[in-house]
Amino acid sequence: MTGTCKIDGCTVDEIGKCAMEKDPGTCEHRVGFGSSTGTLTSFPGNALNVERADEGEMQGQFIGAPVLESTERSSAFPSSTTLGFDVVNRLARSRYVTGIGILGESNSGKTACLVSLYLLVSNGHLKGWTFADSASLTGFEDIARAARVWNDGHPPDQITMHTEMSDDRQPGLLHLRLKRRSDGKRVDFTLPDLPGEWTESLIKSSRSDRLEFMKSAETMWIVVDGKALRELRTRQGAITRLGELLGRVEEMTKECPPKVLVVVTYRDKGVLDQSIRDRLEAEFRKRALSVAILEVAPVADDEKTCRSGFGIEELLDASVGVAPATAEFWTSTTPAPGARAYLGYRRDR
Amino acid sequence: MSASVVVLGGPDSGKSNYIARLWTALREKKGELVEAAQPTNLEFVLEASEHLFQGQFIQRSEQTEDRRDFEVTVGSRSNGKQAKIVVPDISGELWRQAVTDLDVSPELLEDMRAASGALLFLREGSDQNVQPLDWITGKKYLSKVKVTADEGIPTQVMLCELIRFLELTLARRPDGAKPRLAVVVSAWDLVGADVFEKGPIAYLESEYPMLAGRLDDVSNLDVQVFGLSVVGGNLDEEHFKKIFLETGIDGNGWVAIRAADTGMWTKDTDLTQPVAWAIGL
Repeated sequence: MTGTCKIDGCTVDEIGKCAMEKDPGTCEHRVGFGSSTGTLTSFPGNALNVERADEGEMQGQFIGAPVLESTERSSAFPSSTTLGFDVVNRLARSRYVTGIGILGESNSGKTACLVSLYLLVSNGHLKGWTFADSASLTGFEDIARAARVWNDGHPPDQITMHTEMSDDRQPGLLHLRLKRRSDGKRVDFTLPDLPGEWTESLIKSSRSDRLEFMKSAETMWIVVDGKALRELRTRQGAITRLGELLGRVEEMTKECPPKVLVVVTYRDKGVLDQSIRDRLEAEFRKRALSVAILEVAPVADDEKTCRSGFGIEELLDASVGVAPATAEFWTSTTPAPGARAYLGYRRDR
Repeated sequence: MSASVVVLGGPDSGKSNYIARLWTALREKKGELVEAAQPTNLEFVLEASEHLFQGQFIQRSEQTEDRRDFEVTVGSRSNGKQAKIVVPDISGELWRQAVTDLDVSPELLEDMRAASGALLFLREGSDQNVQPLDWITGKKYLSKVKVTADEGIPTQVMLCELIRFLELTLARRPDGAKPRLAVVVSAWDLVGADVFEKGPIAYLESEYPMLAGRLDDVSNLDVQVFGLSVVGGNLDEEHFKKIFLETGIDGNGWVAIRAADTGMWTKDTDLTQPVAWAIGL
């Protein structure tokens, strides 16, 4: 018996044809086919027999085909789209990483802030910083070109553990390494790219399990739609929801509270009124968090009021703190003429 | 000893013109590297350099294959060491595709892993260079307005990704030192005197800020930046072309190198310098 036939020397497995000119699909000598196997005849009903005959025919087509399909070769290089926690953890093991948390409702301008930062970096428009590296360049390019969008109406439910190639936008972290011009210090930032629905469900139902990683963030950007704050009809709602979000953040990060920056968009519509600031600050005082307001214009409609990217660099500076003032290593001690410096040395002590 | 270098760059970045000119420079035997033995297969370099001999740059569209190899045994004039080098000319489209697909052929991957030196090309003034996204286009994308002319991945992003691929693949040098990356800005004769004086690094900082920042931050590659003019001028200018054709290819062309002592950028007629540094005999 050879392979799938009871007859020694059967040629079907090798060349796909029977040397005895029998049909391999119906041949009684084939193992598992034909009436002699007993398996088919034990089942009543013509329909089943037809089905079995089809199956036999189908299997006959694959006779002689490789037993196992060849494995698909994976890409030669890892992708640089948004990063999963595994990659970020690996990165954090080798150098200090400044984690930034970004929260904000849908359409508040989170993506615009990220895109604006990327455009400033890629065009060399930051005054105090230069680009050094990014492990998620494709991720930045994708969101800047709106090449990938959240699943229409069904935003992803959690951060993917491993980077996957997909047509959908995957929630994850973006990495950016910048060099500060003033002191040459290199700072690694991780910035989350998450759907606004996650913030909304944090406010509404306190769902914080998928935002656990933000507990380790040094600075939290809470992006608020500046239009909604300026519009009388939507102002109270925006302030109240912000207050509630701050409450959730306070609860979520009570062990190690981050510096919170409330990022108000649409700075190109003018400076935020003091009355609005006062109402926002009243909300901040209800929470045991250090909160500051920063106004930005990620993309300005009116370039006369302020340029696109306004405030983004200040946001970056505020997130890491300013460079320490460089102390003069050897201060000048040239004595003034007639000061009798030698006699007066240390007289003042 | 054998060594291989990887030659990378986008379309129309000057790779083929340099490989053709490299062969003629090796033949001339006046540079740091000289041809130690006549190459067995001259078909590719002969065909490529024929364009230069006739006073024309090799155009992007004239490359018919994805990959052609130039193999030659070279010797160092300073220490007499010899090495058989393989310089593959791989089309810029293939590199661009590699960045999109995150993949290269298994053979090329093996070559990258075997090499401990690479040459990364970009060309001043090429119409194939893709600028980074600007605010106007960025705004359109953000407001979901359809952008009709999407030029694709910007050149500086593509080059940063190619550097990442090199970091992941290039082998350490035989003495255990870091692999070397020579960044070559071709058509350097087209820049003005002030830009030349500041040098190609300052040029990259101004025109390709991300690439310049990345090169400054690379820690596991040794990087050196060169300016390059394969024939020392623009062959599209009739006057220059006439003089070039009359004098011949030898002695024409230069590499801009920063002098170690003065820090000044100077023209060196030794066109083998980028490869000589990358393989480091």
